[in-house]
Amino acid sequence: MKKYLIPLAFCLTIAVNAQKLIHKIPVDASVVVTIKGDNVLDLVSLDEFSKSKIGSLLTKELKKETDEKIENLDEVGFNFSEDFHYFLKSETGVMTHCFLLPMKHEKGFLNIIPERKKENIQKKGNISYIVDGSSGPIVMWNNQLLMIYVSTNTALESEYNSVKYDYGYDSYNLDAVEAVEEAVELSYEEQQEKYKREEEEREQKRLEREKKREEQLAELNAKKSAFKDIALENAFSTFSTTSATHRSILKNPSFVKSIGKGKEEVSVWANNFAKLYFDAIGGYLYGMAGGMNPYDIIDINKLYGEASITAKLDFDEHQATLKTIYALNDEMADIYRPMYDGKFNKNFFKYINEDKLLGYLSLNMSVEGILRAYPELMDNVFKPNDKESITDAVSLGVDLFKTLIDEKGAAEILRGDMVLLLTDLVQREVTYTDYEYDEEYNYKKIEKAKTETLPDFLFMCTSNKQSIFNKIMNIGVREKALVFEDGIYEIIDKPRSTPFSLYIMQKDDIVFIGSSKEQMSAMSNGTYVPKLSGSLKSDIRKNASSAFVNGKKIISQIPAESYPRDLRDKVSFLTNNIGGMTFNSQKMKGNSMKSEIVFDTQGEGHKNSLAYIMNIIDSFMD
Amino acid sequence: MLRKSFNYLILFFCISLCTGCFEILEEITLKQDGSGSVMITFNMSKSKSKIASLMLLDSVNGYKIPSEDDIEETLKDVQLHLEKTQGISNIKKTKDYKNYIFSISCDFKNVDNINAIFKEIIVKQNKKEGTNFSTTNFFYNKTSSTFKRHFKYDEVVKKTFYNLKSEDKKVFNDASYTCIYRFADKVKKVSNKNAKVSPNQTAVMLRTQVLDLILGEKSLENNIELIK
Repeated sequence: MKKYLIPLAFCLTIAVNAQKLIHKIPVDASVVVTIKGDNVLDLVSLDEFSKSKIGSLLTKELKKETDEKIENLDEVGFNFSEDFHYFLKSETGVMTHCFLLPMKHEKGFLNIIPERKKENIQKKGNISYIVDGSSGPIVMWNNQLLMIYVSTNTALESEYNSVKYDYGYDSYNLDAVEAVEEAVELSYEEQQEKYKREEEEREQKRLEREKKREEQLAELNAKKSAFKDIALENAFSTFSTTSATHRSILKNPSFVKSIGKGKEEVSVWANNFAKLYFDAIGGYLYGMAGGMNPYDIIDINKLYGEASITAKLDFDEHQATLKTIYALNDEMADIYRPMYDGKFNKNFFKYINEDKLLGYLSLNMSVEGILRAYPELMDNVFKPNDKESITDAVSLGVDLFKTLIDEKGAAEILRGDMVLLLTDLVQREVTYTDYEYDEEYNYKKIEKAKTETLPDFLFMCTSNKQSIFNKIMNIGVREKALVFEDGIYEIIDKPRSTPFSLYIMQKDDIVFIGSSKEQMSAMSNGTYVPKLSGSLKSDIRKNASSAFVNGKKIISQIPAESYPRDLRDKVSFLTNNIGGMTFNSQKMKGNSMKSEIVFDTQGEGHKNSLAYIMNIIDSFMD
Repeated sequence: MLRKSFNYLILFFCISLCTGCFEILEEITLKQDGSGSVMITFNMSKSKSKIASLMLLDSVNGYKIPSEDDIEETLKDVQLHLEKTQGISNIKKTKDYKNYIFSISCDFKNVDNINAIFKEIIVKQNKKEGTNFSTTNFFYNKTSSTFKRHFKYDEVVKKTFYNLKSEDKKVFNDASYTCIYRFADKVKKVSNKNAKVSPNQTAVMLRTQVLDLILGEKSLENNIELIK
């Protein structure tokens, strides 16, 4: 039953009236996921989804599994015009997962429940519910809401399992050895008698142990049952909660701040990671000794305390966007901020031509900031601990690091701003060894040639120490690892596994490493023609990290015969439909780091980006 | 992070764009007394760009990619195994990491010694995968002057192949297996219709696609009768 509910709720989602169910989410929830039905419906109707291949497949399975009691997705009974929610609430050792799925009527849902499970349906007022064992989910519903509530006491489950599957150490072997040693002095009858006595003692011990285990299990079962009762009570409470009686998540300032304009289709919010870590894993780790428990040495609270993340997936007409905001606590933000305070070398733009660009990846960090922040981070993460010498070792390492490293000097060599460009896909002639046979089938090796498509790339990083670069290159030339020609060094002693040529040079405080000699020569003699739009310039310059992949261009440049056979007939479809992907991660502002991935979904015959994804899936399901 | 991303970006293009294929060469030169020499060559030169790219990774599709050290170790193991095999001498190995061509050759006192080389591996394979490959693949009858190359097909191979991911299956697309047998006497007739006899009648060549062998569509089975 559950196997349909969750996928249905999260795959098909559609809905309006966001305010209703969200009031049921408690103020102290750690994670909240919302799928905004109305926003999704605006993009793709239930009818359109049902007609898609994935929708048809889902409908077909539903019909089959419900003996055709359900003919279409609408008959399942979900109210697709409301919001669907999931929340996670964590308390020490207790994790509660809850799905809130709005309903139009319960008839459709009752058709999904297998007949054998219907016997377990209980009633309380107008609420129906099924409790699936002592550790399974509680499923609760009426004509407006279906709720799946899974509450787990990790500490209790852990203890229960350790008792249930621990049959104790049987000292049989040890006793037997002692018995044999002593038996040397005993007659055969005496030995028999002694052995029998010991056997009885052992059996007695085993029975005692078993009895104790049974008692423990009974006690733990009672605890589990009591916990399930509490969980059931809490489930009723959540199910029945209305805005008037409950301190909902809408009273949580961090969550409220994350709501924004609410135009997205899916949102995810997670708060206070440290608490989540402790509550989720703590139950298993309490009492662990001998350095097994990482909380003994790592200060999770400092690292993740008050940290939150918000992610929003938004499907527009021509693009799908995933925006995330990661907020750190004040202390960590102060440590991280200098790492992202990088300066950007505008000279990079002199060597980028957008017309030839297939993709790039840029990084704009501060090596000086990183080297200053790293010891700070280590100092903060490893908390003082009398038992573990590792924290002393870390502290010593940090002091040595601070003493030995000249942050400013290191930043002169590598400042922290760099760009990797994929500039071309070129057909290169590659030789290979084949055999030529004479009439007697004696053969000789011959060299043949074939063309292969290989990428051309260019890597640029800022380095203000020309003298160090020159010294390294001079050593390379003397050691015959490099060849110098026309201001460009070629690496000749490169790993055999490098399938392309590699060239290095320095100009304008930039170290260049590239695979195309023509491109490097043009850059060296000043004939390279740059071209870059303002928006890409801005993305590269202003962000801590940025990436772009021109999917359409890449696909069109790859020869059709290079694709796997089963993909070849899709090449034209892909060329017409695959757009670009842009990723930008901003520098830290205040305590937050924002990032955004944008998929360009412009193509033929897609009314919006969600329909585009559905159409792409459909085309690959052929 | 950048280095890793860089590696993966470049590798992605190399692995996706470069084609892959290989050739296995099995050569046996047989003297009248039943002794001779055998050489097995594994030529991956046509896929060298792809292999070079793959070798920058630790694993692909869940398969570990052997490093040069791993290959060296394997060749050493093969050599040790040959040294321990009765009747085997003059072991030579060649390795060309630029073109990815590896070969190993040795002399044998009689054809049974070749079977002994592969016996252990075949027995292990049969036990592990439930296959039923023959451990006697080469046979020479001095009296009747007949050389036989057995090849017992097992359906398990086809099943295993069909269970592979489509990406993994592609490895075998253009792979070939070539057998060359040279004799002191002239060849009277061969049983495998795909085998060719040299004009001077002292050599036989059989070239097949590995995929045909996997699917059981062709065989290496060959009964070669020599003129006494």
